[in-house]
Order: sequence, then structure tokens, then C-alpha cells
Amino acid sequence: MVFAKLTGLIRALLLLGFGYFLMHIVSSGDVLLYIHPRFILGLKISYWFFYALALAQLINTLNPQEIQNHGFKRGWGMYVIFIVPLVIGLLIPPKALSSYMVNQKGINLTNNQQISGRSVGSATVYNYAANWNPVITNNTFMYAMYMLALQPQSFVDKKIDFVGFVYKNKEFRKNQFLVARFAITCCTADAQVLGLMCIYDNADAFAKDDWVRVKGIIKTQHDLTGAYPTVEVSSIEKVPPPKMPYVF
Amino acid sequence: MQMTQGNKKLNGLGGWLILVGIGVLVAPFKTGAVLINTFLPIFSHGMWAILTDPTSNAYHPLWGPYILSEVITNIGLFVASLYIILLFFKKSKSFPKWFITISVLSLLIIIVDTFAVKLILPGKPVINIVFIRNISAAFLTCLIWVPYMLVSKRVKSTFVQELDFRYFHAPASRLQKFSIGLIIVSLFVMIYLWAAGYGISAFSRINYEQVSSLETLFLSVILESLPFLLIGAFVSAVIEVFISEETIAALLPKRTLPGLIAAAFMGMIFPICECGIVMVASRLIRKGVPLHITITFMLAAPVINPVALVSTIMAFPTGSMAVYRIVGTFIVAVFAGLITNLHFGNQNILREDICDNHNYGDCCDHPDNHHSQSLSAKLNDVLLHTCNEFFNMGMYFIIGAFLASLVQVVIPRSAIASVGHGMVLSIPVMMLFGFGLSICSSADAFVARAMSSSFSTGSIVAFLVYGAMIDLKNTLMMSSQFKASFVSLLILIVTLLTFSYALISVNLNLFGV
Repeated sequence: MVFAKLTGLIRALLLLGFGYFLMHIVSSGDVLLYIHPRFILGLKISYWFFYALALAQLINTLNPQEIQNHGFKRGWGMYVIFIVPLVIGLLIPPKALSSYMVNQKGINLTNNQQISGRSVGSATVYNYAANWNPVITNNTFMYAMYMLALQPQSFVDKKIDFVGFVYKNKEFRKNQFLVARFAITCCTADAQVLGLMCIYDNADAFAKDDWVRVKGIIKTQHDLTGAYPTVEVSSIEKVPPPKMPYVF
Repeated sequence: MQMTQGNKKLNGLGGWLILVGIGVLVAPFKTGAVLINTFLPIFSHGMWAILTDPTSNAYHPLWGPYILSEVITNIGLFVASLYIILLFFKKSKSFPKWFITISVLSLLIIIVDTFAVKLILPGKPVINIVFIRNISAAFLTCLIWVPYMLVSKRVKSTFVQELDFRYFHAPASRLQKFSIGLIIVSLFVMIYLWAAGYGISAFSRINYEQVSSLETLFLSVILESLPFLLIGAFVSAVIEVFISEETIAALLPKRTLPGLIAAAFMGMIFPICECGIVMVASRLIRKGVPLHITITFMLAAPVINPVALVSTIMAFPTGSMAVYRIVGTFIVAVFAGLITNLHFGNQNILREDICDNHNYGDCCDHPDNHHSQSLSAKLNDVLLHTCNEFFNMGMYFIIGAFLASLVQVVIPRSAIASVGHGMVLSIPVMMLFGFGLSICSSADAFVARAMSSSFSTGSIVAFLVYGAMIDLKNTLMMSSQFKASFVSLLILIVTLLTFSYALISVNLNLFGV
């Protein structure tokens, strides 16, 4: 009996904790470091639901007549598990994915697997290239990168102006670095690296994870898998990390 | 694995058990060889002194503990492999348990070991051909022999002897030990993550970027799936309280095959994704829906639903990949349902603790209890059932999310790309990868597209079909509801079916490229 009451209280507290955690992360805006904005509504509903669950659990636990909670067979060990995400979420400062994960996810400069996409999208790409707007914003980033990767030849000698973080690895040439952003479909677990290889003689001035604004001219290069777009940098400057590091 | 009725001589150390016997006899030699070849030189040639001397170049504070724990683990494995020979020839009842434990442990040790080396030598690539060979061998052992131990009739009728080793049965109940273990492990994990998240200096040797990526990914998976977990718990509770067994029975088709086909397309109306589906499936079984129908529904719904469909077409615009995926999922789900029907009939496959009146009162007692209640009492019941479901499943869900993020952080995509273009080998590799990643079925198509330049079409199909049905997170959740023998058989069936489908359909070029 005492055991059941205590377990009920722990449960109510945990549910409250989850509700508070979700509310906190949504209202602070940090939620966008983890998931796509379209899930926010779901999270909002979820925290109200968690509060309702906590209330129901509490009322039933405090109700002296009957203990309705039968599901208490497991030991208390399991409840510690539920604290882990709460501790990480509430006590550790939130962080966006870093360029370390570029390594893990791998870079895909050419889009040659899109043989099919190419035939479907050809007219679209031409259209897009004809109406090319060199200033890439948060909203147009993903689409622009897809289009560029799809048919880099159509964009040669056009101007471009975009923001991203710097990524380098040993395989790159000395004057090369990638300026990229993570594109999120659902959550950071499915993040993909989208970016352009930049060519700049003073590449050493920029380190991994620096955020930069690049202006330059689009060119192409070839590797074993096909042609990919590059940027001949005409001007580059460091910028503060954007509030919204990912593109959606 | 099922034997015919007439075959009575199913006990004794024959049949497939001969293979097991050979493996058991060889095992101590393998472990012994590792001990002698790898660890003896470390101690006899002065390497130990170099690695653990703080003034030397090769020094790392973790070398000492790492090598010692490796030696202890391997000696432990060696002793265990001798003991298991004894159990085997004595036909001891506990042989299958020990065999399974050691097989699974060996797999885990390889993974942990790789992670440890990665921590000590962050620059050195650890995923090489030897690693892939070792891990595939260990994985295959688990995949084939663990289900065999669990379902084979020969195993059941052979290993029946009681060996009198009383000291192996400690007085504490397994549940207590499990809880204590969990508490200790999660406390460590929490302290570690917390300290590393703040960059506390005691942890300076450990790669911050890895830990902070791990935290980001872990929270991200949790945040993305929590609403769906809640939906699953809620739907399950609503079914429990508001829908009677009679209603369900009236709705179901009576014949097997039409029932299975209908079940495969249920996801179109009931788009519950894989985080919530296991809870709903377990509830449906308790409500009297036939096992095979539920299994087909559980496997198919995460893929054959509007959301997953649209995202697959968006990722692969010609649509042929979507066709491969849907047809594959349909075939695998229906066949898995049929096999379940033949093998298990309507046996109870739920874990005993799930369907035990005293422990989990809501499932079996007073079936019509809910119908005499007022609406507010019913709503109260729905909320309480939702809580129960959330807590019963949540533990497995959180562990699964953690392991899946660990896989992402530790294994670089490029590591598996070396086998990507092989027609056959790439398929199991991608299936294993999909299993480990455990991403949502509405997002995995985009990941697949990003990888499709370095992987064969067959392996991409396998990834899309398999990852949504069976993955790390979902396996843990299934084992919270279903008996281990059922879960392992289901995984085996789905694995073999997906593999064959991916290999055959793509080579025949059924739906174009």
C-alpha cells in the first residue's frame, strides 16, 4: 500500500517533469535545435497532456478509497531511466549539432543518384536557374542546394551569397573548405549536410565550426562520382552563429 | 526448425545441435588464442610499462584500465566457455540460457571494445575489415543460434537435467538485481553526461564533441517521438476502455488471408508510427484480435501509411523506390503474419507479467468492468491506462533512443560505405545499419537518399523495408510486451524475408530503378 502510494507519487512527479521540460524547451525556442518546427504543435499538445496525466495520477494516488494503479510491478530502477532525459534536457545547456557530425554523416557533393530526379526536374532546374537570385536565405537554402547539386552546369558563373559553418578535413585541398548547414527533415538524427565547396587562398584564416558569410561565383569541379558545384570566393567574413543554425 | 509430428527422436545431441557442439568445443581455443596472442606480449615485452608510464609518448590514462578490463573479460569468457562445455555434455537445463548470454555478451563486448579504442585513439580508424568480419560473425551467431535455442523442440527436450550448482542461485530476485543494475548504470551515465556537458576537466581526455553530439541526438530523438509515444499509449487506453471484444470480433474478417491483407492496409486509416504501434498491438492481442492479424498490422502500419508514402516519394521522385518499399513491406508483413499463424496459432505470446491479473490488473480481470461505468469514470480510466502504458513502454523507449544515438555518434557512414556496392553483402550491412539507426519511418527515406550514391539499390530497398519494421528502439519495446522467443523468431522471419525480397526484386528489376 505504502509502496503503491509512493510509486504513484514518483510517477506523478515524473509526468509533471516531462510536461515542464517540454513547455520549457518550446517556450525558450531551444526546441528548434532538436526538431523540425512542424512538431512544435505536437509538443504543445503533449505537455498539456502530460499535465493532465500527472493530475490524474496524483488524484488517484491521493484518493484513500482505492488504489487504481496496478501497473507497479517493476522496481524503482526503471524510474531512474526517466530522469535521464529530464536531467540532460533541463540541466545541460542546449547545443546544436557541430561539425563533428559532418564526419559521421558524410558529405555528398554530387547528387548523381538522382538520375530519376534529373529527368523529372530538368525543366524545373532551368527555370530556377533563369530566375536565379544570388542571395540565399534560411528559407531558400535547402531548395537552392538541391538545385545546384542536381545540375551544377546550369549555374556556372552566377553570383551567390550565403551563410553557413566551415568544415574541413584532411582530404580537402589546402585552399578548400566546405561551407554548409544541417538540413533537418524530422529531427537531428536524420540531419543531412548541405553545402558548397569553397575555394579561397587564405583558407587557413577560418577554422572548423566558424560561421561565415560567403560571396562568390559558382563554378564546377569533377570527382569520380560526377560534377559538383563550387564557389570561387570573392569575399568572406565571419558572422555570429545564427539563432536558427539548421535549415528546414 | 519445426519437426514433423511423427519424429519422436528429437532429444539427444544430434541434428543441428552437432554444429552447436562443435562451436562450443572450439570456443575456448579461440578465446585462449586471443589471450595468448594479444595480451601475453603486452605484459612480457614491456609494452605495458610504456603504455602506462605518464612520461612516455604512447601514454594515455585509459590504457591501463582498458587493457586490464580486456584481460579480465577474456579470462572470464574463457572460463565461461569451459563451463558451457560441461553444461552441454551434461545436457543441463541451463545450457540454452548460458549459450544465449555468452553469444549476446560477445557481440556487446566487440561493440564496447571498439568504442573504448575510439576514445583512447580518436584519430585511428577502428572500423576496418577485421572489425566488420568479427562483428558480422558475432551478429550472425546471435541471429541464428539464439532463436534456435529459444524455439527448437530438440533443445527443449534435450537440455533437461538439473545440475546441482546451488551457489548460482543468489537469494535476491532477478527483478531486484535488474533494478539495482539499472540504477547504477543510469547514475553513471547521468553523471558522465552532465560533467562532460559542462566540460569538467576530469573528463578532458574524452572527446567533447562526441558527447555533446550524443546529447543533442538523444534529446532530439526523444522530443520527436514523445508525442507519438503518447498517442500510442492513449489509443491503446481508449481501445481498452471504450471498445469491447465483441465490437472488434464483429469488425474482423473471418478468413485468414483476407484478414491479413486488410491488416496490412490498416495503416492507411490508422497512421500510428512505430513508436506507438507496439503498445497498440499488444492491447489488440489482449482484446482478442488474432495474433497473425495484429502482427501484420504492427509490421505494415509504419510504412503503408500516407505520411511515410509521401516522404518516400519526395525523397525518390520517380516513385519506383516507393513501390519497392510498399510491395516489400506488404509481402514481408503478410508472410510474417502467415508464419506466425502457422507456428504460434493463437498461443499466448505476451509476456507473463503483462497478462498477469495481480500485477497488471487492467488487462485480464473483469472484462466488462468498463461498460458499466459513468463517462467521467471512463475518462479517468483512460488517463490512468495511458500513464501505465507510458511508464511500461517508456523505459525501453528511452534506452532504445540512447543506444540509437550512440550508434550515430560512434559509427561514421563512410565506414560502411566500403561494402556498399556489393550486390549481396551490402544488403545485410544496410539492414544492420537501419536496425541501429532507429529513425522514424517518415524520415528514413531522406537518409536513404543521402546514402544511395554509395549503396546498391537492393540495400537501399532493404534499409527502407527493414528499418521501419525492426529496429533497436522497437525491438526493446517489443520485448517489453512479447515473450523473448516470439520476438526473436519474428526478427528472424522479417530479416530473412526482407533479405530475400531485396535481393530478388531488385535483380529482377521488378519496378524499374
